[in-house]
Amino acid sequence: MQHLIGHLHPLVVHLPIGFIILAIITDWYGRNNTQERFGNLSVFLWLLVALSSISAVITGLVLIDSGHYEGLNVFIHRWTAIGIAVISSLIFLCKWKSINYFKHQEISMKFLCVVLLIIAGHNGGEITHGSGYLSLVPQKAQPIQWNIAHSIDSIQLYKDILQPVFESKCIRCHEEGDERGRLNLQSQEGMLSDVFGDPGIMPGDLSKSEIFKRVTLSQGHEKFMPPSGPALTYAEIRVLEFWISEGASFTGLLGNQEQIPKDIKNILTINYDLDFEEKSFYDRLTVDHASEEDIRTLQLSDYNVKSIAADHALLDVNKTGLGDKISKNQMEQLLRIKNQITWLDLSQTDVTDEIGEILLQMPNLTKLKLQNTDVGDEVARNLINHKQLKTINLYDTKLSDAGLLDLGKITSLRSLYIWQTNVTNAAVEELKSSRPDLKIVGNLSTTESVE
Amino acid sequence: MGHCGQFENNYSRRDFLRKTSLGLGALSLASLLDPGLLATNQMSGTGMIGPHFAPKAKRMIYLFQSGGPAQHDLFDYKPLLNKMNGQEIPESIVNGQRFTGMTAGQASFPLAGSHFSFKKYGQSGALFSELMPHTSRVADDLAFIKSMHTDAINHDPAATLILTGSQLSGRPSLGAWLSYGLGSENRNLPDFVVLVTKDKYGQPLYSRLWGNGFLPSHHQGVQFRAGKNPVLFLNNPPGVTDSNRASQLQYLNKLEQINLKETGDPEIEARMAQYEMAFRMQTSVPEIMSVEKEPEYIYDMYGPDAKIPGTYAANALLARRLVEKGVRSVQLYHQGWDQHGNLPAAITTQCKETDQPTAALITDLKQRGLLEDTLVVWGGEFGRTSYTQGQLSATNYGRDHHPKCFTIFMAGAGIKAGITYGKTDDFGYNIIENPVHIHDLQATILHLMGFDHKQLSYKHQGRRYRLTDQFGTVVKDILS
Repeated sequence: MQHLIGHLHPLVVHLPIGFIILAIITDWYGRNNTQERFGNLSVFLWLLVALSSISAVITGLVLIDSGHYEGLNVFIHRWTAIGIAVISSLIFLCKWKSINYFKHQEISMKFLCVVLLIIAGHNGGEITHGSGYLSLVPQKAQPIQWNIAHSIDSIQLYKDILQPVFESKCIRCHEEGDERGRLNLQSQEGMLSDVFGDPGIMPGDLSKSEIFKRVTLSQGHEKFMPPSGPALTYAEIRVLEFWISEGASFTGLLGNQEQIPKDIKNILTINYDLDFEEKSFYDRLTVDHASEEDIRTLQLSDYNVKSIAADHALLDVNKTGLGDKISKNQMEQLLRIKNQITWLDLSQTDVTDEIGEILLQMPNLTKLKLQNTDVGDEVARNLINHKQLKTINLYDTKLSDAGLLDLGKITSLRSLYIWQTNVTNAAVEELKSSRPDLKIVGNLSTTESVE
Repeated sequence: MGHCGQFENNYSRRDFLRKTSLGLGALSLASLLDPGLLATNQMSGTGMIGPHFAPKAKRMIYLFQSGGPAQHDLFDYKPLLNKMNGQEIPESIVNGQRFTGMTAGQASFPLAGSHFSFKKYGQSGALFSELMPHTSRVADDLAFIKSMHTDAINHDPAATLILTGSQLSGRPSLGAWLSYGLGSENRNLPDFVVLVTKDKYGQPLYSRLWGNGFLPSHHQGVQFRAGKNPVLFLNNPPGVTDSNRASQLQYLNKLEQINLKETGDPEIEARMAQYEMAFRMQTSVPEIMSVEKEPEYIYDMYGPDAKIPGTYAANALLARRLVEKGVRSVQLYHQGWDQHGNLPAAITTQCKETDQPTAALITDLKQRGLLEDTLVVWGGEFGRTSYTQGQLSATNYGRDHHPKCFTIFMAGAGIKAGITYGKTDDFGYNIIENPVHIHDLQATILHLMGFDHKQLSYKHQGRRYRLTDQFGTVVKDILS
């Protein structure tokens, strides 16, 4: 029961606030009104003020009695509230009994009441929501303005992440010209030079890095840094620790770190909005979506056209299950979506070398399948300067050595299938030696075991 | 219907209940006015969800070795078992693990060393026993997971778990989920084809292992059989010509249209689409099954069985032909790995039947450039024990079911070739490094096919179901 009464305080406490404002407004409104009825209304309102403030005080005292509330704010809150209850009761009594003396003091008593109300209200807010609540602005993680969007490769751990921390929390004392403790955090030499024995930063050794030692001391310690103002956060200290133990490079790129611990990744993701998810090639390309009409047209000319993934602009186009005939006109239809096609499969069709010129106009083509067709070196010649092709499948075609050499000039190419073509082993070996990064797959059926 | 025709809609009974049970307010005006909104939803015969991200694999071939192949005699080499052959398995290793009813009564559990010799193969140095002379040649194309583990200790629940994601029957199978998620690539063939080795006996196979569960029925696996009728009831009865059948279908279509108008049942449209698909399959299936056109050297590759329809070798060859034609998933089933006794002889037979075709399939896919976007998975439902079941003699031993560790391998699209992931202890009994649960494997397969396994779901009976239930972590370390 006692708890219930105490917990009603936040509810009850708002009643006197409203009543006081209402009573004062009513008195002001009727300042020239001499009717008895109006006077009674005023008396009644002040009765409400007195009763509600007394209830608020009682519930408040019960709540304090629970032991959870202590300190200066509570002290002020309690006595100002009692003040309100006393003054408002006095106002009510004077009005009710029409005590004349009151007429002279009315304004100042009401004024006092409002002042106490503001103080008590503010203190109540501080107790409930924490100090400084009134001026508190919600803080969001401040994403760093990166040079290259979404790329962690270009981030410098020191310059982009640690230096701003030093600037906001340390440099007002440890700057050039004001090198307290002989430490200057504005220059690299200053950080690395000795401060009472140990340097500020000892690359690779946390136990000899004075800065790290100081910011991780117990906060009550007289040598704890910073002595005033907000301390370094856990995240900042953890990044500092990682940076020092990895050699404290002032220019090192995050992308060059071989292994970034999971917690550092989490910290950087949460605090700096960095994205460590590897983006596939397809997600890095920015292409407009093909129009519905173009896709419909292609589908009507017997192509399967699908996005490579839901809502993706890049398209996967093939003729699987839609017959093996492909006319010149059908080939040209592909140009409607030339920017979006990334996987193209025209295998097992009667496609001809004329497709070469069309393929050349597809800048984002990465996988090309033309196996089991009659195409040959002509296609290869057209593709020499292609920039994105990764895979070409030309098995069971008329490709010969000349075509193979042309395909070898596509620098982006990583795999090439040439089984059952006119390509000779010698040419394959030659290309293999000049393009070790290119996987060439020919006849495997007779491959001897590697034991 | 008459005057209330304006409210006519393609609602199934289930849809009606689902919508109205939320109150009329939930019946959105938009879907009332535009039947197309719901129709596309339900007629997912063509509508697909599409991968969540660019997939590494477009197709999957799952070589399911039913019965649980003995990992200690094939890949997971444990010399300690030979050294301690006949000695009791230490209690500290078994650690209270339950035994099956078949060995629980055994008075002793002597360790059984493998009778087969092991060697390292390829640049990756993967271990194979002498039972796999062909598959060992493609060692560098494979990624082994030696730390698979499962929840079930018997065949039925274990196979149901690995193929449908739950020990209880009724969930959609992996191939059905892929069909549901990816849709069809070739409208003339089913998305999901099942090939079962003929005349093999052992643990029974049930169609629920390739069933659609609660997904729409066209996502279920279609079994292609060896012989005159690859797909049951697909061919016209004797005396009915193709043109007869075509005009019959045309008229049926007309009648169904009337029916559809009257009742508005979306299942009618689904049924009609399937009739037409079956009609197209009357041409496409014989075409794909007519393997005679394959050149002799291909038969040589797949081995002596390749010309006998219904063998594992013939099915492996067929699997290649199917993925070549855009079938999303092909699942081979080969029974007979359940070697409780007489293991040395039985496993030799199994390997003779499967080793060469498996290796040939991987090589064949590779030289055709298909391995680049086809995922191949080889494995059973659980492993076998390192102690013997029954009498251990100089020439014979048997192994019981073992769910705590087993070995599978994967190859192809998105797989880091030439690696071995996970480790078991020296007794081959417990996993000591990187365990991979069945749901992790499923999550990884879905990931390779372009899906976040947590997002690929289907609402049924009031909640969304996933292949991986509430579990599963993608095994990133085996991805290329």
